[in-house]
Amino acid sequence: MADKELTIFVVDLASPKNVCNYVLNAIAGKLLKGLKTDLVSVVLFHSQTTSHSSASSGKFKGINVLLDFEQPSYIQLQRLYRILTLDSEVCEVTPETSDLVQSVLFSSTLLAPTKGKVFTRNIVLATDVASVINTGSVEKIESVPKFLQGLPVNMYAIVHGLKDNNATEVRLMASHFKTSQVMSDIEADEVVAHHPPVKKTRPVSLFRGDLRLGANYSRVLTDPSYDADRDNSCVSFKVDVYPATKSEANSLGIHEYLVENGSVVKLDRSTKYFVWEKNFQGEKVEDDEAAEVNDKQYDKIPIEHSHITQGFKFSNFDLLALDSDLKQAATLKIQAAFDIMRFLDVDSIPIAYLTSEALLVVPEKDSSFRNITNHNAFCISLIEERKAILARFVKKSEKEIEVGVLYPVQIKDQNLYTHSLVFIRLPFKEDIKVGRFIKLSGQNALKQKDKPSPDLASINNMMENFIEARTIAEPEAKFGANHIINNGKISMKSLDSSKLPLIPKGLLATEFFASDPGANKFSSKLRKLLLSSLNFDEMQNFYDDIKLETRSLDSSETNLFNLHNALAVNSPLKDPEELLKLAVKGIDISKKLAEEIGTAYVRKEDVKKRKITKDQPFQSKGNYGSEEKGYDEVPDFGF
Amino acid sequence: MSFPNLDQNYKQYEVKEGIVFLIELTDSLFKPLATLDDHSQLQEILLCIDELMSDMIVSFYKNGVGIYFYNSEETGSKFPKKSGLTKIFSLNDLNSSNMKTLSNIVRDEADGFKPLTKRYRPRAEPLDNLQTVLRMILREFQQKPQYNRTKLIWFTNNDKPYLNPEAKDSLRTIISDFEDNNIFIEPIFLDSYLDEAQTKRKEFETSLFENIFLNTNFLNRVLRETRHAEEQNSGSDSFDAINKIKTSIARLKEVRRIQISCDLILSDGPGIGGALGCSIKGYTLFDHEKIKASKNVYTEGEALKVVQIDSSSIRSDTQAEVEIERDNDGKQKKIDAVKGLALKYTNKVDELKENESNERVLLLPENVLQDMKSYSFDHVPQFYQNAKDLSQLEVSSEPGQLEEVSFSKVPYLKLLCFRQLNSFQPFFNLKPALFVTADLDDGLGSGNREGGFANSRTTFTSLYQSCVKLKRFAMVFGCAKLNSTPTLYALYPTNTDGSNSGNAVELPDGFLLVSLPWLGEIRSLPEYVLTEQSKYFFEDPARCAPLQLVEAFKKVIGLVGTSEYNPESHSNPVLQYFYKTIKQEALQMDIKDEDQTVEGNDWSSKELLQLKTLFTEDRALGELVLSINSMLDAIGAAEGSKRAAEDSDIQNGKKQKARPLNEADVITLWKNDTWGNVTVAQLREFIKRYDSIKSATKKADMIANISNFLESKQKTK
Repeated sequence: MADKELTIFVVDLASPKNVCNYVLNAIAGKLLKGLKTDLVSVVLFHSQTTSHSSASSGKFKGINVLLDFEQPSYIQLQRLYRILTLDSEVCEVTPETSDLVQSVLFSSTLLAPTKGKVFTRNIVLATDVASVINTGSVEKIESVPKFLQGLPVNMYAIVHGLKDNNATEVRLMASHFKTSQVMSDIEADEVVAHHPPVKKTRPVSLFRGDLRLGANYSRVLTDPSYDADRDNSCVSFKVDVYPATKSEANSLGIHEYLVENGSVVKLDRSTKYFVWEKNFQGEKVEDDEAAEVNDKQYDKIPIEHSHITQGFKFSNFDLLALDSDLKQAATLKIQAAFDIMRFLDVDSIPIAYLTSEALLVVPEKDSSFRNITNHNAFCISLIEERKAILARFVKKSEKEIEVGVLYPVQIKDQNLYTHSLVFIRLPFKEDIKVGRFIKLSGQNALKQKDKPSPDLASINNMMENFIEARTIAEPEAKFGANHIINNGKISMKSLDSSKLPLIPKGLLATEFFASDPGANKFSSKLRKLLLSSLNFDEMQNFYDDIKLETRSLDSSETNLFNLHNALAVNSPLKDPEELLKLAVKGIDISKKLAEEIGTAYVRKEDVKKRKITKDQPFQSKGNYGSEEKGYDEVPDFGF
Repeated sequence: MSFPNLDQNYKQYEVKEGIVFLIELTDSLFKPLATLDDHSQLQEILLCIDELMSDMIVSFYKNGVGIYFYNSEETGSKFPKKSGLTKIFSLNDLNSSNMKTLSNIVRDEADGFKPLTKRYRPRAEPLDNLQTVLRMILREFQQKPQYNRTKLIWFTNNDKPYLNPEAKDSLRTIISDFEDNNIFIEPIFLDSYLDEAQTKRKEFETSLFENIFLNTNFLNRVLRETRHAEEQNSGSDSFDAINKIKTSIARLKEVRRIQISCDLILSDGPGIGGALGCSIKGYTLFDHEKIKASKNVYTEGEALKVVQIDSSSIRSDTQAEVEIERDNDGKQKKIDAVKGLALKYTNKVDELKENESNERVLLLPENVLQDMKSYSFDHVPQFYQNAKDLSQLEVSSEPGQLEEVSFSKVPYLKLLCFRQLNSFQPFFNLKPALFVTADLDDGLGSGNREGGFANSRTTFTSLYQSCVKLKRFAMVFGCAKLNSTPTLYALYPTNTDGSNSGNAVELPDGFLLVSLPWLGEIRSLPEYVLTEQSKYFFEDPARCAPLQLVEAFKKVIGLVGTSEYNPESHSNPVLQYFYKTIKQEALQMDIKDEDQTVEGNDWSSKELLQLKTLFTEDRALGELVLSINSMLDAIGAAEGSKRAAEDSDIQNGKKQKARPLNEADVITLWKNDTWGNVTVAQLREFIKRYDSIKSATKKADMIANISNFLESKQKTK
């Protein structure tokens, strides 16, 4: 189950419009995800309308609670969008109207429904550095904790015109919250574009039990009451196994729709079962060996679901009904178990052998001190001896036997470490698909009969220079400490997990852990699309408008990937220009290298053309894209 | 403007291989050989084919095998009269009946029930009709057009393929016909001996075969290997028949499954763009073989039939099937559907008109979707103009022949940078790495490509050699297939020093394309490890365990021993057991004496039994383990008493364990909404007592479930 989250957006209507960008994008993102556990409230201040539960008392003038503890909906987002883009809602700022301090204090009262519940609570304040603060308000900042009533609340403030030395009131107020970030509207736009929420997926245990070394295996096989933990003649570690990586496919709920006269109908898939059966045409030709078999001789016979059983296709000619007896007979009676078979030199395991998603093997939940010490001592001895483990792992009884390597690692979290083992499967004999390929090593690798071979030594010389120029500098300290995992995602607590786009704080330590730029591009475009649809009263009109869109990109920003943006999403790159600098360093040598080797992009079309005009020397167009101009490959929809 | 069709799947054909074994019967083929454990060469060939078929049914059950003999005393039916051709079975998809036939023949030879000499007697006088034989075999291939890869494995120890010199030209023509039909011929010349004691090997004279293979390169490998063997063994006998038969047949299982074909672009920036690069292809090296998924079968008819599925689109409003129009050729047209995302319209349902749905669909027309999913790479983006270092460089770059490649369309891989080999960490593995090698067609051979890079092999070879020499791997980014999303990869060279020792599968030269995870694909440690930080985390690795214990473990590691893992010698026990049982069922074989125990069928259990023996027999090891356990027990006991003291402190100083809740308590709590002081344990215990209250893991959910239950009770009252 997903973690619940309530975000209260407190928006200063008197501030410039672009501070609202973050708010609109954040809510649009939530609407697109459609999570029932992700709730929002929206509080507008400096508003002409005063609308809240104690409005009749005359307190908190100019505060308009547009949304209160709700899942975002399209109509509400549209209302908010229109208010934020129109100026007519802004009221005249007077000492009677609530200022940002009062509005935040007021908003804190909206947290009441989450009291006593497990919730992540956020307040997002969007305002201007010049926002008027009423006399007496600054003193009230001290009462923030009282209003929060001990609830842990995160505060994120977007301030137009923020500089290092201004917005002291906002900063002071933010300091009273559990965690806080104060950013300028420009930073906020950057965050929206490049720092989508990093979410912690609740780890699900795959196995819990003993990792054994030297267990009495004949008893393991025969005696279900055998407990390695009580057997003094073997070593056992109580462990829990969790996934370390998991391939993720983008799973937005995109469906197919039919669009007809202004209405939209969802298409579902339906499946029907049938078997092929010979019809009279088929019967007729049956005795005639020479006759060809074709589709027309067979009919589809629909069948009922109840007449279907499982079967196994042993070969194209042998179909066996897989009844429970046969299934049982064909199942090896293995028990769930995790055993150390022997040790491996860490460096002796070819990377090519690593064939599954990695798993984390950690001391079990509520471990005794004994178990943790045992685990630590074992991991240290493995690391110091530079050994890994060859292990046999049966996750579930009567399922698969996995043979894999267990690497000892230390996971770093700020200045602390924990030990873990990382399990990755190794291949069996049946899994080897290695074919034969051309040889690449040796000086004669390029020698061919009847052809002058290129001067490999001089090419290699240039290639080495090229590689040196494009090698990224890494701290020497890292080498030799390759068992240390330093990555903020693996040590992320669920409290750090947020559904809002935020500046990553010390999340990652190396350059190459970034979020999927493809997914980010897709979702940010989707948000843009959603927000621009809000200008239309009917979705259909919007659809008609964009369907024929062929506007080209005219801004300087490219719509394509490049060295600058490929790793820019949630990237910790201390110097985002690093890859670009390396590329610049390598331009000169790469030109020489390309000319020496004679690389050129050859289009098939050009090759075909060459065949027609045989006598003329072949002139390559060189590059695909050479006739196309600039960035015109794909139009950008600058919604 | 045309867009590439992003939905188009990467074209990849399933390999269906048709393999024909053609064996020339001669007297010496039936002679038991000492080098073959007193098996005859023919027996060895059939045994190997039997094994090959059993292995192939697991991974490639759509492959076909046929076994033919020529120069036989008796001619098989359906072959030209007195042609000396016969067969065990003709080329056909693998099936139980052929497998049974072959395994019966092999068994009958082994137990002497019906020896091979009696079944397939060779002719005394050679017929000299190789043309007829090969023409018949070619026809067998042509009758089975379903195989997209075809091979003829031709065993003979007769170095005179023809007697009449005039036959030479027509034989050469037939061999060319094989080549024209894309049938690869692999001749295997078997050794024979001149004397009974099997000491003098008869030289196989290849000159006549060289005549008939003149126009093809089928013979090249045989000649090369012979030369190689001669060089290595200076002509000794160790290049023997057994190796030839086993390795040549086992090699038939080798596959090169092509997975990707794209460009690897190395350069970036003005004046060159992506012009330095090479076309590459990626293949599977290792992939976990699973038991084939079971099928739905229909049992009501006369015979079992596979159930097929018809899938259609239906309208969600009327449940009516959407009619699919057909074009003039009778082909079905695509439904004119638009992709879209449904969004919740309002939380106040009463705002809706009658019959209005509470959804608004954000439609994504094709052109918009293309834009959102465009993953092309820009090699010369405008920000290069602002790069400081560039101004100096442009002076030095002379105007050359080079044409700038400004951007690359999917599929491509783009170099980001190089890194030191020893900075690679394998701990976030996602899937098996692909093997990448140069595309020898420079990208022009694949159907889905628009083109490729000239001299790819040179660029790739140099890149490989330089990376190995400098100990570097490349970080690359891109979509390796038309329909894949951008991925980050490490391009890691194979066969770097020391990584490929003798006791391992020999890997080809090239790079491994290792998928690296995006942040979202990295999972976190379980919460308990992170929240009980003082327990699971430590500052100094040296102090988190007693040195004595660490040293003891090091000794254990030394005594248990280290050796490499070689996949070649370890089969998948569960898979083998499954197929063994199914094969017995399909071939109706007798299974009375079959070993069904785990240790009898699982090498890994056997190895663990041996390990235990080591622990019992090696006294030093046994004692070490005992001392480790007693050290641990001492640590546990010390901790236990400390804990007990703390617990009693808690019990004395603080509240006792909360008492169980009764119904009245809960109703009061519910009415006053005062759940604050109740513990999770109390709630869990309460929920357990009532079947109708849903269990939950979080306090808030538990309270919600209890409240729902009470509310529903109240309503029913």
